[in-house]
Formats: sequence, structure tokens, C-alpha cells
Amino acid sequence: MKVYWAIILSSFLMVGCGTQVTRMDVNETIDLSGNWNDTDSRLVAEEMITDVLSRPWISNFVSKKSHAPAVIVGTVRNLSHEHINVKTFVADMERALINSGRVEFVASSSERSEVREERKDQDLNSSEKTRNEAGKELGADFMLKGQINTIVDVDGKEQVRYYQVDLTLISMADNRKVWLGQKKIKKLVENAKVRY
Amino acid sequence: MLPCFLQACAMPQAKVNFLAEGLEHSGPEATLLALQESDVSDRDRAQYLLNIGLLKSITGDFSGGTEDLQTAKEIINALQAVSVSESLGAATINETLRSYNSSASERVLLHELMSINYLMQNDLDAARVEVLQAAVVMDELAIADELVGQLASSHYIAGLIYELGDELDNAMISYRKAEGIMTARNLSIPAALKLSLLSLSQYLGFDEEYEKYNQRFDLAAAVLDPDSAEIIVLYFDGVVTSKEERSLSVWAPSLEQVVSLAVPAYPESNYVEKPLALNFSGLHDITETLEDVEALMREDLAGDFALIYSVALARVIAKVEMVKSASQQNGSLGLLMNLATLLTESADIRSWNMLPSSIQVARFSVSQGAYPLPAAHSSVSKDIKSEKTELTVKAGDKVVLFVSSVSHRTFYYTLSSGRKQNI
Repeated sequence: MKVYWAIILSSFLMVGCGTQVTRMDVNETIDLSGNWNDTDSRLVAEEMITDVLSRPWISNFVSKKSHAPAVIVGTVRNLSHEHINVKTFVADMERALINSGRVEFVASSSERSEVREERKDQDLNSSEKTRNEAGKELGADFMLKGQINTIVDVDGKEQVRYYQVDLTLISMADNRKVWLGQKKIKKLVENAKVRY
Repeated sequence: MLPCFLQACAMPQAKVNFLAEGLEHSGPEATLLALQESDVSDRDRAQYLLNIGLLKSITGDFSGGTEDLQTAKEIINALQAVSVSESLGAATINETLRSYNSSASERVLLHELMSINYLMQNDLDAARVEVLQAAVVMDELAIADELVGQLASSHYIAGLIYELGDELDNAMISYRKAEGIMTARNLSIPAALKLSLLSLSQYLGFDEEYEKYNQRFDLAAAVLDPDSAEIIVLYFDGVVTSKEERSLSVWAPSLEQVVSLAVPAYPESNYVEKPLALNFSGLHDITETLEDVEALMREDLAGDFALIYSVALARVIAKVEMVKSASQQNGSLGLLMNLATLLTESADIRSWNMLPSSIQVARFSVSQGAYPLPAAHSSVSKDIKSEKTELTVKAGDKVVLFVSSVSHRTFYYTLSSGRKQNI
């Protein structure tokens, strides 16, 4: 009987020590450290997408120019207390805007250089029929810029973290700001005082 | 059995201290290799990563260093909560059973080094993140009228990073804080900080404040030649002293056993400040101390003394009781238990002991042109030459040089003139 219990106990301990992976829905909210996480990124993307598509800047542009506006992603600066990957919600926004069929995106400056290199290569190595010429790039009508700021209030093991994400669409023609998006997130983080 | 087990854990610490003490002679590359070859227990992982991260940084592997320091930061943050099991171990066996979670100043210096790392990787925004995190840590550690965990160098680097990012009002606040801490510690203010305070207070229109600095420092804001560039040197000098064990074992006749007690202590520092001599085509300058890391480490230990001694006292009582209980069962068992308590008594001498002894700074302007990169005065690693030996500066540039006395390599970040305001 003792041996039986020892085996059960050791099996239990071994299971406890192994790596466990649980797959979950990407929309499920799990806060571990209190730091910026996928949920925050998703909340920002959702808010910004809903807002940017519901404002009149697109219809105003289309009525004047008779084509969908082309947007380029500029710098989204992380001025927060955390190392935040801003590319996640910017990519979500790009996807939603492109898929809406109402906005076009052009490659950012970093992406462009690679494409241009490839075009140069095509010029040398591709057949006449399939070659893409230089000088036919679509110029952007608007640039998306923004920043993330935080305010952190600390008292011992407690922190209140306030995040504010501001995105702006600036007209390339005349520097007008045609859309301002904002998302605020506030968290109370209570760090453990005791651990096992 | 138990003493043997604990002894096995203590060996790497002796090796770490040995490597740290030999760092100036062996050089960071050889020390890094030797450190990476050693086995590390989970309890010592944060200390290991701090040292590895620092060594990688001063050898130019900034991304590798950042990765290790980031992991160390996560471990240290998770270890800020008091562990019940480790406290029990510390109160009954010894303090090395606690996971290493760094001292107050080390927590701030971690962010400071990471901000330099990011800057050297040309990522000013990420450097700014570390500056903000350092400020949060210093806020957490702040105790009224005490300076434990408050680092002038951290505020100075914050000011520098804000200045590079054109946030001149924030830079002014950080420089003021750096000056305030140095004044509170009765340290002389380096010329680099004086000049920053003067230049910014004048530029931002704080006339009264400018006058105050002007009179106090007997110095005026430098008038920058539009054809010149500014150079800021961050210099890590020396290697901080490692902690050592102070132990006492006495025969207590009334208890009929040997009672032992071991606590950590810093030996007297042999560090002699060695400024970096800078020569830029006839312009001579030297770095000045911004942070006395040797003093900080001693201050941190002094701040922890009350807790260390109370736990040590509790441990003595617990061990006396254990020996007494064993002796009551069997005389030989009591003797063995007494031997075990003596062998297990060990002080926690872990620290981030590859840090520099001091952090020094210099700031001056030079005409545009090409200059040989300054090299540290140390004679280590002569076989390893810096990949880049020349620094080319253009008018209006701001260049941050990162030099360590234990390395022959010099690294720099350049903010080109088109990206900033002139102050």
C-alpha cells in the first residue's frame, strides 16, 4: 500500500514539474505581470479601427479625389515605461483598413528599400514581360503617426499604470491632421509581497 | 550530506569573486568565457546574468547583453516578494539559500546599463524606456531623507537621453535631480553636469536658476560654435570590490557546543580613481566621477545590516536548539549536528561584482572632423584591438562615447545635427 501511494505521489510531482501548454482563444484576457500585453494591443487596435473607419476623412477624400486614400505608416513612438511592440496593433489596423476596401496602404520606408532592391534585380534578371519598372510607385496621401505615453504612480508594491495611445493621420499634401485616434488604458498592479 | 550539498553551491560564488577580482588583468572577453563555462544554480541566476550582461556590453555585444540583462530584470522583479521557504532556510541554515535578487543600487544600475546598451544600439526610444523604469525603481526604493537606491548617474543618463530626444524640460528635471543627489552625498559636481545645468537653464529661460548655478559653480554656459560637435563620455572605471565573509566561531561552555556566525562585509576599498584622459586634437580633458559605485555598494549593505543581523541571530538560536535536541537523543548525534551547523554557516557574499568602481563623465565640444577614439588607460586585452579606431563628427552632432577601463574597445552613439535643437 505504501509503495502504491509513493508511486502516485511521485507521478503527481513529476507531472507538476513538466511543461504544460494550454491552447486558448486569442481574445481571452490573461494578465500575468501587469505589463502591456496582447489584450492591450487588441483593445487599442479595436478602438482605433472602429474610430478611423467611422470618421469622415475617407469620404471627404474620396469625394474630392475620386479614389481611395493611400496611407503610409510612419513612426509610432514608444514613450512609455515598457518595451512595447507597437507593430502588433498597427498591423491590425492596416489589415482592417485594407480589408475594408476603403483605404490602401503603401509600403513604409523600411519596407520600400527591400522592394526597390528587388525591382533593380528584376531590371537585370527578369523577362521584359514580367519586369516592373521603377518610378511607378503609389504615393501616399496620408501618413499614420503616433505615440504611446504612460504615467506610472508607485507606492511600495502597488502601481497604477495609465497608458495613452495617440494615433494621427496627417495629410501629405498640406500637413492637415485629418483624424486623431486615442485609447486610454488604466491598470492597478499589486505585486505579491510573499511567495512560497 | 547537507553541508556537502551546500558546499557545492558555494563553489561557483568563490569562482565568480575570483573572476571579478581578475577582470582588470584578464579582460572582459576571457572573463566572459570563463563565467559562461561555470554551472549556475537557479538561486544565483540573476547574479550570473547581471555579470554576463555587463561583460557582453563592454565587449560590444549590446544585443546579447540586453537580452541577459532583461532576463535578469524579470527574475529580480519576480523575486521582490519575500519567499517563505527561502526565509526559513536563511533563518535555519544560511543566507545563501535565498535567491539572489540584487541590492537597491544594483536594481537601478541594471536599468542604467540597459539604457546605455540601447543607446549604443541606436535605439533612443528603448533607452528612454529604461530611464523611465529606473525612475520607477528609484520611486519604489525612496525613503524619506534617505538616499539608498537614489543614483545621480541614473538621473544624469536620463537627462542625457531626454536631451538627445529633444525633451529639454525633462532633461532639466533629471539633471537637477542628479545634482541634488550629489549635493546630498557631499560629492563634487562634475563639470559635465554643471555645464548641462547651465546650458539648459539658460536655454529654457530659467534666469534665476541660471544665475544660481552661475554663482555656485563660478562658471558660465558654454557658447557653442555652430561648426562644432558635442562629445559626452561615459566611462566605467575599475571593478567594484567583492563582498567577503566575516565569521566567528566560539565554544560556548554554558551551551556545550561551538556557536558560529557568518555575515557579509566589504573589505576596505583599494580603488584609486583613475580618470580617462581625453585628447581631441589638442583639446585635453579628463572624466570626473559621477557615481561612486564602491560607496553605493557599501551603503546598500549597511542598509540591509539590521535584517542580516536579525536573521543571523535567529539562525544562531535555531542551530543551538537543533544541536541541543540532537544531543539529548544521542551525544554523538549532537556532535555531528554541531559540526553540520558549523559547516553550513556561510555568509551571502553574492553581488553584481563586475560593476565598475566608479562611473565617470566628461562633456566638451570639438570642431567637426575625424579624431582617434579614446582608449582606456588599462593595460588589459592588448591583443584585442578596437574595430573602430576613428570617430568622425560633423557640425552640430552629439556623440556619446562609452568606454570601460577593463576593455580596449570604445563604442559610440551619434545623434546627427539634423535631428536635434542646438542648446
